[in-house]
Amino acid sequence: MNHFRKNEEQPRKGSLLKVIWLLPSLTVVGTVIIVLTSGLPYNKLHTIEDASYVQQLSHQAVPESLTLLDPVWGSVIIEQPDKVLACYDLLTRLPFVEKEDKSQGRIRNRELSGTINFLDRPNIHFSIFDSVVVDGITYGDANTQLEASFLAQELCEAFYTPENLSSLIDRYTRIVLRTDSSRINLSTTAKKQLKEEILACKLLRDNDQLSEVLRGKGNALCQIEIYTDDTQTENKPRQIPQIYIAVYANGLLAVYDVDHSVGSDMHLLGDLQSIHSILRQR
Amino acid sequence: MKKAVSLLLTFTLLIGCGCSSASSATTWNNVSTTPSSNADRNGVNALSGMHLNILGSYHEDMVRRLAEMFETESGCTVSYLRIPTGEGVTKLTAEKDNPTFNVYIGGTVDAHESLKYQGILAAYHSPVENELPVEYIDPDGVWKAQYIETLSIGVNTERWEKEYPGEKIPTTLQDLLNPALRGEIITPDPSTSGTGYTFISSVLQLMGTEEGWKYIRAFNEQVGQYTISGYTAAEKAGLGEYLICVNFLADQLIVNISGYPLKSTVYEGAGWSICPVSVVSGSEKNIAAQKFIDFCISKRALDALVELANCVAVRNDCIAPQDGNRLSELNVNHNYSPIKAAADKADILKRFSILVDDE
Repeated sequence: MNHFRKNEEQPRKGSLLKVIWLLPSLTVVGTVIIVLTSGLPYNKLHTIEDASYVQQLSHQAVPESLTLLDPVWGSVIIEQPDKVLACYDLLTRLPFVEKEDKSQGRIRNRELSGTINFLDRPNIHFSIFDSVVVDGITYGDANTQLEASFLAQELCEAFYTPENLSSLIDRYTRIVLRTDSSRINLSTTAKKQLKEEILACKLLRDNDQLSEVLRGKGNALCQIEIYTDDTQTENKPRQIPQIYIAVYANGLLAVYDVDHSVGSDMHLLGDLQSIHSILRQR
Repeated sequence: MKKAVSLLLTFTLLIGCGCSSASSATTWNNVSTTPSSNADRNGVNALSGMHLNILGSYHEDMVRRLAEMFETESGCTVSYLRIPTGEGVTKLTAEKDNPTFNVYIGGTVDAHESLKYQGILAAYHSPVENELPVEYIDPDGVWKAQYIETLSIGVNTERWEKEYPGEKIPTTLQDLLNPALRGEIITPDPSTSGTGYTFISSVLQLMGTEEGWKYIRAFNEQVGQYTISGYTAAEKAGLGEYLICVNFLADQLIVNISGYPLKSTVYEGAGWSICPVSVVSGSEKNIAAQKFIDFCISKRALDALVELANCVAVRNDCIAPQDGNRLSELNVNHNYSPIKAAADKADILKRFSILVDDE
């Protein structure tokens, strides 16, 4: 009798152990079988029936380009996706503000306005000055104002190129060649030559080359003054240029935006033959 | 047999768990937050994958140049913002509990001192600071000087010769009070500009409190425009919009070397300031911030600033500014203390604000 009872207990313990090991094992095996045989969409080509519709949706959602406008430098179009998307990302997550907070100070010294361009949806118009205004509504708290400052500063680099500088020189703009002893208004022909020579200049970015050129510059030979705003007002009886370029004998051109007023905005290297020719004649 | 199958399945399960843990560890290491791994690497791009936010209060081209040089040399990406000294102090103070920026460069030393007292800037002992004269390093270890700036009277000589032929150009503080010059002086606003604050604090230290405030009141009546930044005053005087500017010599020299007729005189008893760099609290252990400060007081960084901005570097092995002099050669008030100016700043600006609002 006792022997029979002993045999009944041992099988129960054995069955319990089997269940403990069997359940997770079956789970793993079962999962593997399901993945291999169920037809889950791995390594398979799937065709969307209306591809053009999906493409259209994706184009509508993605900004194509960014047009920036500065009252002095004119306009530039930015197409680099990372910059366009950075701008779009910032503008779409700005919090609405009921009352502008001016305690943080201006974001920029001069208004920067722009448009984010889309293929098939309305463009977004914005401006960055005292605050960020998007399609006429003011947005942004102190944190996003800081981000807007960073972004605006980065975007404005697009204005500082030989191409954009040369685009400011046209028959409508007053350009004055200034030396210690004279002021010469450049003629239309002279402006055209200057425009081409500036377009051919190289933007100095490499630090070693910039150092070498700065150390060898000496004193400026002359200044090229660009008057983008030709009006004189009561508050400003003496007209000054909006942009001036200090021209050095070693080919360095240091460009200054007077309103920006934080040092030079760009350094170019070039040969302004037309300007040297005028100087020789004086 | 059954035991063998069970053991095999268990073993398989354990191996699966172990693999996923191992791959997580690899991912974490790749994020590379361990300073020593970066600091040990002396090669180019040692700080790759790291980012630095710089707040700068000298010229934007100077901030940009240092940022670009550091980015190229270290591989660390850099964002920077340039704003006048006063706004820089306001911004850093407002963000005290959640700073955006890792380092503050430029502005005047009184601004760095006032931020230090509030715990907004932190001590960092750079291995490069041994190469600087000891008087240009903060005894508390917070700021390290890059260059020195001195105040100067700038006169547009072209306009002066036309409008005051034969007259001696103004070269002293008293000359600036000539009633004929009313409205023809442009100078930075002390409440936003470190330059502007250095001027009024140096007048007070030179003349004493009572006489100093009398002078500042009289000088205020001569001023045609206060500017937000120090450099603007030199530019507008050089271009002829104003006859006279009072601001830092280096700014006036930039305008002069660009070819505009601005004659500079460091007047007797002129104030001066130190232009330093500091780490923002919260970034003391940030390797990129530390390396950037090391870089900022190196010869190659300071030479780059002198080339661009004509300043007087504190390092003795740096190049000299074009057409500039060393501090010891200038007619400045050697008893002027920028540190005292920092301590008195709040009171002085409050009284100045009342004075200009009354006018």
